[in-house]
Amino acid sequence: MQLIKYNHRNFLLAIVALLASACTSGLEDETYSVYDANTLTDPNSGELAVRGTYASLKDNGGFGYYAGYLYWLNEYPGEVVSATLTSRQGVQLDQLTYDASNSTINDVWSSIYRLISRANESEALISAIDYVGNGSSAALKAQHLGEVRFLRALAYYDATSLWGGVPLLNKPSSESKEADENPAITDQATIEDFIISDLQFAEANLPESFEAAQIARATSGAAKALLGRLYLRRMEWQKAADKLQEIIGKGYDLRTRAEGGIVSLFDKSNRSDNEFIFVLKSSNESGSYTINSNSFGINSTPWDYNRGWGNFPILLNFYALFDPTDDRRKLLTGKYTTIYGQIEAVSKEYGGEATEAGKDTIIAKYVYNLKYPQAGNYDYAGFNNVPIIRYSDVLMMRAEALNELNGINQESVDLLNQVINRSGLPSYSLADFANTDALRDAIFEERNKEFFMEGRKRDDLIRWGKSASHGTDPLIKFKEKVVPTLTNASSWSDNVNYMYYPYPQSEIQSNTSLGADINKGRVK
Amino acid sequence: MFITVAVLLVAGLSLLFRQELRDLFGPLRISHMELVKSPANRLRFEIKVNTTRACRTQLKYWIKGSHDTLYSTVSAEGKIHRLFMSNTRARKHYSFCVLATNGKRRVASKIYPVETQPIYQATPYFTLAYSDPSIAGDLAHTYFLTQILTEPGSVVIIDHQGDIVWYEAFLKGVKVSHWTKDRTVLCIVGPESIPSSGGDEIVELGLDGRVLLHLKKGEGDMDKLVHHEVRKDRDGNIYAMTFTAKVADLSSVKGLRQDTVKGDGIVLFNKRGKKLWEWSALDHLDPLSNPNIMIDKKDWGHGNALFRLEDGNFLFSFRDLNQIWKVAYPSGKVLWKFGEQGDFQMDPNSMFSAQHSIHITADGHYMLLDNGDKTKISRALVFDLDTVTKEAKTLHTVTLPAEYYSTVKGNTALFGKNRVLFCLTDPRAFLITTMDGHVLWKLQVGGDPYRLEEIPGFEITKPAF
Repeated sequence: MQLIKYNHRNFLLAIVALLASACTSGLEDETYSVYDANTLTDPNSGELAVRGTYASLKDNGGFGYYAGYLYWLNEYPGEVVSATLTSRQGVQLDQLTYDASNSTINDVWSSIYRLISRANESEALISAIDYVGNGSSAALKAQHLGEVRFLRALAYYDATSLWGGVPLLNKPSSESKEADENPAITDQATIEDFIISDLQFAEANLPESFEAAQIARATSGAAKALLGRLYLRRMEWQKAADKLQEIIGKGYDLRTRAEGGIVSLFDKSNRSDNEFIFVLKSSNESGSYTINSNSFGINSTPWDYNRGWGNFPILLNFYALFDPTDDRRKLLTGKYTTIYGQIEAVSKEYGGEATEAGKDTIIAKYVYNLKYPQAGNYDYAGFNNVPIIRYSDVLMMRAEALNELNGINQESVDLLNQVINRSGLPSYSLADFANTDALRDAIFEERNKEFFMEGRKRDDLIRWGKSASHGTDPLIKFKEKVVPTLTNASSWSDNVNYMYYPYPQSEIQSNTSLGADINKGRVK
Repeated sequence: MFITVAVLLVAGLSLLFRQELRDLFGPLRISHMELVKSPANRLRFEIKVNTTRACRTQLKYWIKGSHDTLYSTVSAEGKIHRLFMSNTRARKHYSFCVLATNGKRRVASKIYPVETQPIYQATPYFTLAYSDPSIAGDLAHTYFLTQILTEPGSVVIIDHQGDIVWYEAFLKGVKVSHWTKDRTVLCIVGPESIPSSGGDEIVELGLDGRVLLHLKKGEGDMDKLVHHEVRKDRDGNIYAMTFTAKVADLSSVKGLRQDTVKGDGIVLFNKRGKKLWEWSALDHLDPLSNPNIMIDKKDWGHGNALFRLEDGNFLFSFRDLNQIWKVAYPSGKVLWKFGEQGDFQMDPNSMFSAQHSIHITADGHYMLLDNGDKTKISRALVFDLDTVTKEAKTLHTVTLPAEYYSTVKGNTALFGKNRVLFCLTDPRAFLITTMDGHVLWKLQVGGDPYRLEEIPGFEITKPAF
């Protein structure tokens, strides 16, 4: 019995020892699994991703990208818009004295790549969502993908306009490898192929229109128009003409004179119009500045007009280009009563009314654009959506493409006439043009008057130069127009290719693929 | 012989029923863990844990190679647990393990990896512009809550370097957010079309992303849009500022006989969203006493901050009146008005305009952001109010350099005892300054900041067991 008892105790001890040792050292590992919810996501997550990508267009609170800085890069260097002395970054762009550290160049680069990254993430996320299985539709999924791909194409269009070759980022971070941390420059043609495939997908999958509440979302028309713009930049005239023709008569038209014409197109009461093909949505709600508005309203007009900042002064020579009966001149501050009660007017020399300065009369030194009315004194919110592509651009782009393709032709003249007749000018006739060059010059002169302060300036000057020189000297028109506006003519250098901005300093510092001489030929 | 048999028996048993036997009779063990990744949120991860015995669990996690260890909150006693990593930075490699205890025994899981991805949602971004070495120690474990008003909106928590460590995205904009004493985030959500930081939803979120309370206008007791402010009082009730309207006869000032005057109010809900009380400023203002009523009637006074005091009464800030009111609860009576044409004697140099962010400091003083509509200089002001003699003594005037003037929005609060935190909307900056207004820390914000709050208790750096 004693023995048994002893052994029994040993038996218990053995069990305890076995279990105890298992707990402290030989503990079985827990089983482990990873559950990735990607394929079960709510289609609302797709909508969220799409809206987030649109939000990148107004990056950096009220000033960034399409809310402001992109237009600094596209308008300041041209011969129409000047910069105020207080804006050092703006003056550098205006006077062509910028370098890689210019903060506006850096800012636009960051905004563009922020949009691209967001689009890449959104594309992967939307692709992984089972829309149909979660109560939505395949069409909505395709639309969401079309929207983010349209926006990515727009960002790459801008990037290639500004810098030529740029890094091609086209996948979500989950697929990125270490080498992708420092992306090399991809040549412009490859990027453009990528833009084209994005836009072809977008035009095939986006709706022709959205309900009113969804204004400012990309349509198939927007994708086609941007594709036309790209073909034009590539001097692929036939493709451009064909693509642009697909939009003509498809639910868009010019705002007619009966509706108030071009002046009313930019009136604060006209929040949307079927002349606008794609816009940056802006709000006139008090306090929406930096949230959902743009910086153009407050920057466009001068202090004594309505307490604006006057950061886009327009040279009087530009005012002088207009026929007094041209409605488009009314979108400039030719004559106004200042907040102090004086009359400020352009002098007769430049086509205005003023004869001489007096106690109550000021001779204008500059004029200012009225395309972006602001909500009121000190309220920086803008009434108007920022036009990114409008129908008159489509008409003029097709006119240009057909002229390059076929020489002077009646359809090009008719398209041009549609645009200028709307502003009260008489028609051109075919006989007014001796040759392709003459019609091209007329188209670009009219584009200048039609699209001032709409971000087209730089692209237009370069494309004009390319066509006029048959591709041999893209800067010929840029130089002809811009050099006379430089305070110091020696700011211009024939060794700098002004077609492309320098790659931003911030990118050079963080991306080891960009060598020290990357900006050779891009800055003085 | 018996010993041999017994040992063989035990060995055999343990081979046959080893796991089950242990789990049935043995001590606490973590049996299964599952990491849940959701694309809806790139920073937050759920870890589901099964244990063999009822216990409490806690998650321990850290950036690979770092010594800064973080912990989750502790799960309730049970065998099935849900833990959350809710303080992580994007694009980092993390390691984590689960700790469990039933009082007698503390066990740990193996260590597993997880990688955070970049945030694709529309969150604002923050750039650390400057951080003075003198403040580094106090900032090390400090986090802040802010929000983005744009559609899509988001509410975000950032660390002192401006890195986002937690966020939640919304289709609508997030108009204002508030960190509660329950470690939850309370916010007003609404479309961009509602002005004045207004919204049609009140949402309370846990750090695990769970919606704890969701009030929508038109449902239940929420019958008015809310704006500018939503907070919890001492008892956990929720209060917010409302838009109110009143019909008034304005025919004597060229208005309508039945004209509408719009203004602001207060609403108080209990924890479940039942309306307990409401108040309208329009019941305490006479339209005909205001010579500008035909202009002001669209938004009279422009309320922009609300704060419930320990005594149950409310402080209410009116931007356009340049006044703070004390409103009695529950009578609704206006006890006093402080500021321009108010009831208090005060230093004219301390007169504020277009102010925001009225609140009580830890010392019981009245603090606000003087946006400085009249001076074009923004500053923080701290007052000691003698509500009997109606004298206001200015304790601190923290004046910012002119470049930080903000026409609208923004807030301020003490940071520690002798520094001040600012959120400044127009210059898009978050600042911490000395009491002299000397900038010690600055984050530049890409986006529109409305409010910034320091959020004590967010980071957990110590194990609970």
